[in-house]
Amino acid sequence: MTGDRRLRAALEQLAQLLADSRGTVVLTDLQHAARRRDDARHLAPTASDDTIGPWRIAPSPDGVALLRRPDQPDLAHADWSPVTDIPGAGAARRVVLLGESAARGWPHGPGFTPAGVLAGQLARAGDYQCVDLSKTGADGHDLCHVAERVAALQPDVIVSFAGNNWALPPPGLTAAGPATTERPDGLDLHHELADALAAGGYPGLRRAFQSAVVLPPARRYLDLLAAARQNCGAEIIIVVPEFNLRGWTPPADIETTALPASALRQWYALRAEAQHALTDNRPQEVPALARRMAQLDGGCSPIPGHLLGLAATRLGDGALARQGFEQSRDAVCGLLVRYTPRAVRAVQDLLVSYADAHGWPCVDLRKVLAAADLPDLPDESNFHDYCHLSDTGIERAMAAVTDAICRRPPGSTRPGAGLPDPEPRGFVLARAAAHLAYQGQPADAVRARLAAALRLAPSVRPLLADTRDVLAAPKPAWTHPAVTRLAGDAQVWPFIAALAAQPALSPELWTLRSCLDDLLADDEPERAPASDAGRHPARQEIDLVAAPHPDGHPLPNWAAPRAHHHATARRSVFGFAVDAPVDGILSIAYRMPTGSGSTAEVYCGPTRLGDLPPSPVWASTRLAVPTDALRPGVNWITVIWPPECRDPTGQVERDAEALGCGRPAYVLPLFGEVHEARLLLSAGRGQ
Amino acid sequence: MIVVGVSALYHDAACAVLVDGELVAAAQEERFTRRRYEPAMPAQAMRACLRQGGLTIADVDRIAYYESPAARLSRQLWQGLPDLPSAAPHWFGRLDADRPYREIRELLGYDGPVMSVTHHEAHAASAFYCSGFAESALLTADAVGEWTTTSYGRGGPEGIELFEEVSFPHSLGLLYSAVTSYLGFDVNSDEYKVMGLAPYGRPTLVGRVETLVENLAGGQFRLDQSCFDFSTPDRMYRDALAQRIGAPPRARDEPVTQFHRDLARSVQHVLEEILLDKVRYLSRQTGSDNLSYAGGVALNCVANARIRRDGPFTAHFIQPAAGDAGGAIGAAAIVHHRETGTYTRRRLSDARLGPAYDTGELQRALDLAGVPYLSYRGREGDLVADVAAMIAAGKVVGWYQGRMEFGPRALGARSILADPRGRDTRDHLNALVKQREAFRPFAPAVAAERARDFFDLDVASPFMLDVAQVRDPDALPAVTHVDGSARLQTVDAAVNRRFHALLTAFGALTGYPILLNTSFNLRGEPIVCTPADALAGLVRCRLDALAVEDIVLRRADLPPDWHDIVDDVAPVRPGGIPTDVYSFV
Repeated sequence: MTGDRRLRAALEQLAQLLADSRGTVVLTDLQHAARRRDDARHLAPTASDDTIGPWRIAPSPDGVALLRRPDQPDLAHADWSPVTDIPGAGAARRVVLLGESAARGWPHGPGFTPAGVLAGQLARAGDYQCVDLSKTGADGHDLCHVAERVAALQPDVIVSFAGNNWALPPPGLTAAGPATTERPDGLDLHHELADALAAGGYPGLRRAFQSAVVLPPARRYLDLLAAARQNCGAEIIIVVPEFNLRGWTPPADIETTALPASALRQWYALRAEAQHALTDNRPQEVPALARRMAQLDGGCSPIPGHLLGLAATRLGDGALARQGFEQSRDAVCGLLVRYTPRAVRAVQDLLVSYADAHGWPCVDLRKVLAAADLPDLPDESNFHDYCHLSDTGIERAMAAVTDAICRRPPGSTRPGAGLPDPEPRGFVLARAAAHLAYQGQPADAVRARLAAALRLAPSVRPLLADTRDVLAAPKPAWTHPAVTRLAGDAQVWPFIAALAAQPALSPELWTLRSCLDDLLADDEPERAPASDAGRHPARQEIDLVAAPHPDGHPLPNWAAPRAHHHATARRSVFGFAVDAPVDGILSIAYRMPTGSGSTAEVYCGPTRLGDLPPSPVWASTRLAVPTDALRPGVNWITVIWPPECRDPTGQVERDAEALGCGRPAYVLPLFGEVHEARLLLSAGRGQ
Repeated sequence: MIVVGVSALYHDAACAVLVDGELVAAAQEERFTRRRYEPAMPAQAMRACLRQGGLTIADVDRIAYYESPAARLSRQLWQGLPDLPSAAPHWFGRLDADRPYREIRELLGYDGPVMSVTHHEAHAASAFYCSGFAESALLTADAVGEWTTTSYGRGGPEGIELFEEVSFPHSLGLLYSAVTSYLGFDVNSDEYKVMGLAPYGRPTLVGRVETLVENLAGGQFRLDQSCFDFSTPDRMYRDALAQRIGAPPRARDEPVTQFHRDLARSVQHVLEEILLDKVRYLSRQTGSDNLSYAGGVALNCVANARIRRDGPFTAHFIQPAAGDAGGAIGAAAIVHHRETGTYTRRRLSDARLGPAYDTGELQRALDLAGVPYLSYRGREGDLVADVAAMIAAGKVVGWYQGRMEFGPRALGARSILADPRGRDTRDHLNALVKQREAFRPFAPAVAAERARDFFDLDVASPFMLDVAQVRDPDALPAVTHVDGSARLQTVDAAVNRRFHALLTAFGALTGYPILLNTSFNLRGEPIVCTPADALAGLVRCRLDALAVEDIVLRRADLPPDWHDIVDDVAPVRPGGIPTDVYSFV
């Protein structure tokens, strides 16, 4: 090459032409075309083998058995049932349960699972063997893997309790990576979504996601079940998952996708109006407002549906409430933002229609888990969180499955009482509280779960106090004696280890800490501050933008973490704690996307500290924080940004370009950024 | 003018901040993400550097990027030939010359002017502008930056000028990396293991290695491309290399044989000879007495010593972060000079350019845990005396003081220290503390004014980038390599008062103002950054004690279950770059 100066000069010239973002797209498209050409030659059919998850299928005198694979220690993971070997069914009817975490009974331990409950119910009806092949976190690929092989187990009944994970984006769409881009169809998927986004904006992206990502693997899975039935004659029972529609609040960091300036302002005005209507007990005004919001956001926001659901619930209109809550649940699916597992309406409809078409019994949890007061909606008590069932929910679901297996009329089998002892129920509630906090649920919901846990099982108090202490511990938090105490508890340790590893608390964990503080404070009047007071410096600086992860601040989309705060919703909250209120100064380095004239408001708790003048470039402001704005314990600095974001047309183009090149899209509006936020306290100590 | 230099998106991402030409802070991103060789845009390093400088992002006037993305793209396109562009999975979406600008805008949050300089300009500038020389010859050598693998130039009041380059794929860095890989070590990481292994071998394979690289007249050389392959994702050499060398490649878990040692020695020898030839050429071309040298190859301190001893230059400067991280300094310095017409002529003598951290929170954590510690606040004399006594008694001590070093070497801010006189010290440290290969040598730090008493060295070596013969190897077995050499750091009292005081205190006890000084990290993890990292290091590295600023704590006083807890809570994160091949995308 050294001697070939002409070639190098030509390449340098070509590189100059391709050096901008459009050039990246061109090169990626060329790579895409070449990969399709090359990979088409090498595609091989999927190899079949004699394994299912962590087990090997093996013949035995009593029929087909499953033996734990010693060669795959990684598969001995808690994602699968911990059962070592599953003997042949002998004379018993074999019932195989397929599904995801809800089917595994997460977060209940191995002592209380849907498969276990089902086995208990069936034991009263005859000779059955229940085999739990569900896997926590199973995606479409995992489910198809099991469905492809399940006939080899010679089941009599296959129960499919799946669908919660089908609307989650595959790994290659959540962060630029090889999971999809290494496969030609993965590249096609990127391009298909990018084209849909460019043509139809974020609503178009959602639609394309549903047709290209959600439904094809779901149909394939169902086809594989149909094939399994043909192979082994097993009866197929479809369980249609349900979502905790009434008990779930859209997390605060995703409000809407980027919208044109006037639409965005109007959207927020309508939202405020709807919220006021709810507060002032005028729910009848909300449906119209919510509909106007949804028209503006194209159905891409979870907020209008949630407002509609709340209002309709108050109005006693269950059908309308379901419509609203379902819209809220489904709105974010396909936007390539972060959301929890959930079975969307399209999945539920597919399951029902496929079962109908094939004559399979269908256990529709939308009916099974219905609330007594408003049967169009599920009873919240059936849920642990958003889609995972509580002990009583599992009992109700499995009683209905028992009816289906035994061909009894629905309601024939009486659901069990759930966990027999209050202790484990209290523990599960406490765990649910922590999980809900982690998922950005409001403090009220977290506090209610914690309070219920304490009422039911006062013995969880030390666990909660230890958790609070880990949250409040100086860094490194793993040094705290509470961590040592909890390290021996296999059930809580993964959660506590994750807490102790965080360089700083996220707003969600500040919420958990605040709730724990509130609930535990009553019984701890003499609890000493977290450390000695003698070492308090005269002035203490608190970094409010300290990242909760070594890689930076995770965003609610899948974009790379930033070192500074991005406000993808209008309200940014920064938690901190003080032992005692003192005067302080808040220094903020910030900018806004437009700087068109509106200020941002800054509060400490309910006290307004002042405004951030509009600034499209980085600017610094100092605001006084008076002593009476603070309270001992957890405090919040809140910035309320004006309802203005960047030009959404340009953002759609950039996002489509990014998707086409295998990078994450941003999707959300950006209302403001905070590079530094430091609270300088005149004395005392904070965190 | 405030200029932030950025190096990123290959390996060793870093940030440097220049305020009116003064280097006020620099740090590598890996220290914050805890992923070794982190390539990601240095968002956290920039935040830390700005804070260290008392600045905010609003103060930044320019960002200087250490590479020309378009020039890099042109080389990548060439690598994709004949199916331009390469469509291999690991290349997909990576032919992206816009990425640095986009990520500076999006991840760093900077919308102002971004100016790029070429990779080897950044290397050269990082050495020249930190050298304090009025004028200097410039040499850079690394694996590759855009098209360039080696460059020759001169620096002076008008700035820097690179007048000749060696172009990819002919690269001394890639030759060394390929042999590193061939020897079963990690590329972009373990090259210094080959350097450390070399003295155990004999140069019996020099003839064969010389057939791999033809040293041409002037500044050029050529790699025999029939033996190398820099386009595949799994290895850097072809089967022909094994035929040429005369033995198959070593697998990672195979024992290291004499043949491997001989190969290491031979490639080191060939590297040194070519570098010597090239610095003589550079001297002739420039007529300068001074050499400023940077690039990944400049971290080869054995070759540096040959250049110093046998080369034509009378004064040398090698930048402490000579690899890609240091490009952040060079890029910022060039942009500052170009934009203002001025530069600060000052020799960099202190590599502690990173952030410092308060220990108040750590003390509160220890109080809550009931872990006793001694506070020496206001009693520095007692601190160094007690730590020196501990080390003299055979203890291994973590030494965490002040601002973090910039570059790959721990230089007394984030160090593990031990007695250099101990016969078992090296094996103990390699096996238990650092958990690494037994053949790896350790380096000494010595009080600068006493260096000549113990080492055959008549210049300062503040950045541990030089080697010298140990005058009495039997007295200092833990820091003396098998060939009687040591990769030493000279510590000046005016630069690092506390570390110098510790060396002096140790000297008063033992007669040797010398300490074994190795980086404060476990195998596979970056050097510690915060006091919390240091405490984890104390637990993980099985040190005897830790001196964090003014407090000292002993491992014996720690709860025994902390070891398991740390492994669960803060496991060593996998490195941020591929280790089988040099990454070209």
